[in-house]
Amino acid sequence: MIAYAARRALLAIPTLAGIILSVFLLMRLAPGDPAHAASRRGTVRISRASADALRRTYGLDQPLAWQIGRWFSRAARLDFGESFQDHRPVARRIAEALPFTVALNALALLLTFGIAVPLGVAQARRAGTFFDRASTRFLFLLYSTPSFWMAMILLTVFAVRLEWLPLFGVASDVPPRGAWPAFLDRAAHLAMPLACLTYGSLAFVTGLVRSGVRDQMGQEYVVAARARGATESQALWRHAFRNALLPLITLLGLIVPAFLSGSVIVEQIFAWPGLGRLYFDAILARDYPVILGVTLLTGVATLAATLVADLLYAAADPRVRYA
Amino acid sequence: MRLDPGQNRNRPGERLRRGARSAALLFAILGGAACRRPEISRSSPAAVGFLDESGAGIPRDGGTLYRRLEGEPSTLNPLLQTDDWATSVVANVARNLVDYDKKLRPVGGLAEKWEVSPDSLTWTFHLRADAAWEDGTPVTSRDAIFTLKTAADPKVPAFLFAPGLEGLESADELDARSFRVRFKKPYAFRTSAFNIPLVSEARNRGRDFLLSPDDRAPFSNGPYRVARWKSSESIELVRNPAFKGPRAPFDRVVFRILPDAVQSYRALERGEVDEMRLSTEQWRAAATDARFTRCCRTALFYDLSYFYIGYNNRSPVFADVPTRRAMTMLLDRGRLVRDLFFGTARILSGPWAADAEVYDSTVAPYPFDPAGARTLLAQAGWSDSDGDGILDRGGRKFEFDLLYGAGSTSAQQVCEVFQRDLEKAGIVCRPRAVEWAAFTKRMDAGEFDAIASSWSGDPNPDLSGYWASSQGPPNGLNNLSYANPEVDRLLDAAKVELDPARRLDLFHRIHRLIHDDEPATFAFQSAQKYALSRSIGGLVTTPVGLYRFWPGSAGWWRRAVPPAP
Repeated sequence: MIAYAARRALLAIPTLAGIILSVFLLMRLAPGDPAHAASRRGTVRISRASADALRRTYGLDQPLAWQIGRWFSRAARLDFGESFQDHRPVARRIAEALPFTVALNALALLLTFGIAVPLGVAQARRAGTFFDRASTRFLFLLYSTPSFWMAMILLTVFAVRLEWLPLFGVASDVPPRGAWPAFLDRAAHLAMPLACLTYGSLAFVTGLVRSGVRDQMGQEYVVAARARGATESQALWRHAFRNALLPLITLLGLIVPAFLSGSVIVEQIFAWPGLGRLYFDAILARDYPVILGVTLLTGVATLAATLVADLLYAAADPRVRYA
Repeated sequence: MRLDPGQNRNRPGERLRRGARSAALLFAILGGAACRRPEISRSSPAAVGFLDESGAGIPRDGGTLYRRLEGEPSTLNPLLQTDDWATSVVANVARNLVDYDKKLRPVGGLAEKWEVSPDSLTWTFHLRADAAWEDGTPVTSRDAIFTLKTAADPKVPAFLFAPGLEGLESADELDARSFRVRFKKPYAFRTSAFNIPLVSEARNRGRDFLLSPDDRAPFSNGPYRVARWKSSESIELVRNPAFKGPRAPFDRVVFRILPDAVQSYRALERGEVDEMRLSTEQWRAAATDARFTRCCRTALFYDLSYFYIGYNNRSPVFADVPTRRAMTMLLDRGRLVRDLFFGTARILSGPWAADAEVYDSTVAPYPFDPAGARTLLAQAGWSDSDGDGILDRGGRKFEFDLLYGAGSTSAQQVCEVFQRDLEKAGIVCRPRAVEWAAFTKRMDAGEFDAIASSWSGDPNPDLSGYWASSQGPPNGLNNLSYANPEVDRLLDAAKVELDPARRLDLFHRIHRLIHDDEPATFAFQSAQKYALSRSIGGLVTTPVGLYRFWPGSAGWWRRAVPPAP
């Protein structure tokens, strides 16, 4: 198992290099560079001479191979360069944004599974009933609702009409005194972004649980368990349920990286200072070092999550063995 | 000349706005909005004009001012700032050597006074005795000299300040508070070069200026200092105790980084921000929004920016004057002003805003005159020779792409109106939204037929970098490749003409010549629209906006009892 994990980790290196290389080339194929993007922000028009000076400062006048070679040689020493915008180390900018994104998405993931698993099981047990049909339709309605639209609805109801929740941000400008009130303040700020990130994936995960449980309930081993005298709930929870969860492990491997960069819109609306906003702004500003840094991070997260999912799968399913 | 960020937004928040509006509308329908909003009468004149409340009421000390930033500044380094957002923050933290007052007259900033030699080559400055950095050490001549030399250094991307310091020959210390600057050539608008914030020599000497600590927390010599910058969230300023100038009323200024315009509007209504810029639609909606009226008010004024449609003067379609004039005569600007801006816009005839001193108001804008335009087009050789409804000349059809920066709703609307107007005259215009960095690239390279964009002037009226034939693409900023030897001569003459009356005459001649050549349709100026909390006192609006003059928002205070609507 350890040898397998180590081999997979080594194999990840060329994969990551491939990802970085293709993002690097795509980024350079896109029209406009940091000097052009600087006037996007509006205040100044930059003369050709100044723009060329800027390109020299950032080494953009060098051959592409030299530029990417330098990035790799620095990255090998865990130095990911400095942002073209504020000249701070890329690692620091990412370290600032990452906790906000991870906190938001980890909670969203927990909430998704916390709702989807019991709901999926309940649907499977009452398959074909009104409850099953109605809840499935409702979840698909949510699934097909764009998150910015949902955000506006939630905001209009809970922040504007009822004034129960704050409009944006992670905490009040002057947070209330005391640990509990401060916690509640943060929780109130978290509620709507969390809801927006959660509702969309509910239909998908619930559907997966529902079909998994239904499949397993028809399997011979469940029939055998029933024949041995297990009650319906014993057959479900002790036998079918555990096997029905196997596809969710694979899903976990896919959902983690999607979350890392998938919350751009929600972060924008709720002024949430996370990675999605950092990435998006970096693309508009053609801030190549930040783009590459975030790409590397998502790449590593993706490969790590797939590896962990595979290992978990092996641990959960005795028929799978890695060598 | 600067590009106006307001007209050229490319932030997802702006793009989301439309979705948000439809969402809000749907909600209003679903939630059974209590009553239908009455339409504002189209004929109701909108009050556009400058406000000066600086003398009204006694400033009240204390409290927090909440301002909105539409995006995050890339750096707060006073010399390296390039975006409007950084400028808003830095103005509270770093004073300029020379400031502009609300009438845009140069006044002493960190410099108490200065003398200029008759040939305008030698400038001698005397710093204020009480000018100090936030640690209490005095601001000295060495700081000023370091700042000027750094800004003029070609290796330092000080885009805002480097152009004014071109030809800097020497900067010498006379004593701790006096220094002399010499230039190789005279320049009539040199004063604007000294509208520059100072950075500390002691803090930056011997280090890479791009990695200066001033990037995140500029060393303050102004009324406030940076207390905290939470990335993508907020920038918090607190009073700088070492500042000995006029006391700013607010104890604290918090800039909230809020890309989304709908969210900002709501935050304004809830008192979480005190000011924001409104789009024309938001301004219209605010007029009938009772909640808004209770808490807030609007301020409309014309600044120095304007909207234009520029033609590539080298393109085979737009190389001749009659064609370009005809284009302007085909754009129904009166209708745009009426229907798109509800009277809060005005039509221009030349390359400056109407409030700029150099604007020649005796030059009348071309009228909307489709028949006259057709005559001009026929004179220029355009006719529909193959009967397909599209004009052609020398085997080339009259069709072109009209590029604009993606995300600018007003540019999009104007382009679509223009497209329809042109279609009636047999001209095919295809508006194309282009992402900003790509748009700038094509503009700088001169790779376009026509562009729609907005220019925001600064108080310096010198346009030689933008209209002189030597400044054509790809090396200069004369993106339209405009060339008129007489205009070149006058632009050069105006740069060194030290007599204000004669200089004004030169500019008026430039205005008329550019109007005659019509290298671009200098379409209109739309009023800047701001929403402010009613509790804010001391508001002053100027042709450079609410902040780009002294004291800007550092002169605001919070009223104990806001005036009733």
